Amino acid sequence: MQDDQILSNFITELNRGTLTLCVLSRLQTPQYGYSLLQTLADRQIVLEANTLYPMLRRLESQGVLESSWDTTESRPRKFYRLSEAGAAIYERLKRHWLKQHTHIQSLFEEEHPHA
Amino acid sequence: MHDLIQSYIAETIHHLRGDERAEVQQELEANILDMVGENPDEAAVEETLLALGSPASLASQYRGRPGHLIGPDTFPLYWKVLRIVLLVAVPFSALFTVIGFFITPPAITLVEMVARTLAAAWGAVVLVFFWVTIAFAVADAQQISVTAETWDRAALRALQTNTGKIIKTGSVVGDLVALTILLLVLTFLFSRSDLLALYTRESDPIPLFIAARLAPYLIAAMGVALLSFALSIIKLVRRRWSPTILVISTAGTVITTGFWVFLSTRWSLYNPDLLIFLTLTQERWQLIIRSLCAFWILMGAVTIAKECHQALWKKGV
Repeated sequence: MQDDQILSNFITELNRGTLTLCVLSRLQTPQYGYSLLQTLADRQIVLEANTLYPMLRRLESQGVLESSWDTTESRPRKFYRLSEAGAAIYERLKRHWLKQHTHIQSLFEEEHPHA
Repeated sequence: MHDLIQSYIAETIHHLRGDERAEVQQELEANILDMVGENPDEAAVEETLLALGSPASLASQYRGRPGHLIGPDTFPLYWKVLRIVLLVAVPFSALFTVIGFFITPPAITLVEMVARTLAAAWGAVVLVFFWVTIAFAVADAQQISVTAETWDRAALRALQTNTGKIIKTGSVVGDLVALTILLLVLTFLFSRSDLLALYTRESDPIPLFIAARLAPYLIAAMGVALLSFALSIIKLVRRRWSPTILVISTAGTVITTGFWVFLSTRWSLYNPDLLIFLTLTQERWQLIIRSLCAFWILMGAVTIAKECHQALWKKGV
């Protein structure tokens, strides 16, 4: 039970940074909160609504995202997309992640050379 | 919209800043309605809102910053200072009240005297709790914390040169205790300034000051004492000398010294009967007070010089 808790904490820590990258990756086209949640869930990326909605707002206040309200449907929805600065940040972050992934992968391969 | 959703959103935005509420409310409404789908039943609404977490926790995610007055970094120090100051303030407050009863016995019963003493002690608890909390909250809000400083190569190197520039906790706590006593004395004198008198066996007590004129100056004196109190707490939280702390501390000393010199030289405050009793002329009395003021200024200058030495030149821990 204690091991499960420790593992759960590690996974939470691991997810904390990568989830932002996942969110940014889907916002090159405009999306509203719930559609983004579903898009990520379809790709097996589990993100709680109570994490995503405040995160979108925070990223918007940082200038990474820009938003607009669509009032043409039966109820208004707030659509988010990457801002120009956000797109540049996303590209750099993605490159960093891929490099990091390669390094970690090489660590795993050394550990299990036949894997 | 479902009543439960409205209540949930209202409770969530209640925990947010006023200027954030309207927009978060709109966002949450749109998001929750998307989550529950068209014509949701009670169970679906409840399930969605439970998944979002409590309104307080959701609001804290939106705030993205802690919702407490005093952060975990500062809390142990706050608790320590609060206990020390309370330990001094409560007995002193009770003691002043009892002394007041002995000097000018009021026409009340023993039970009423005990009740007044307890009320004074409780008043001291409230006063100390209020001011210590305010001072620490301000220090915390301004991020006057060593953990908030930039950690870079320069900061690392500064560790080596900073070893002699630690502000001694003991002396600051001593200042806080002394200021607490001063504040209690000033508060007590505000209601009983007649007790500040010359007591003789031959005659009735001769008040040192004209009570009605002294009252506004006592309020100002409390303000200056509170300022010094806040500065001491900033030093305690900061723990190390820096140019900013040195400037603030020096300004505090200048303001405090200046105020007491100003107060002491308000000649209209002194009771003329006192001078008659002491057989002193106005000129002689003013000379004595001015000499005391010169001594105060000298002590202020020594304090500033000592702090400059500790902050800028002193070597070793």
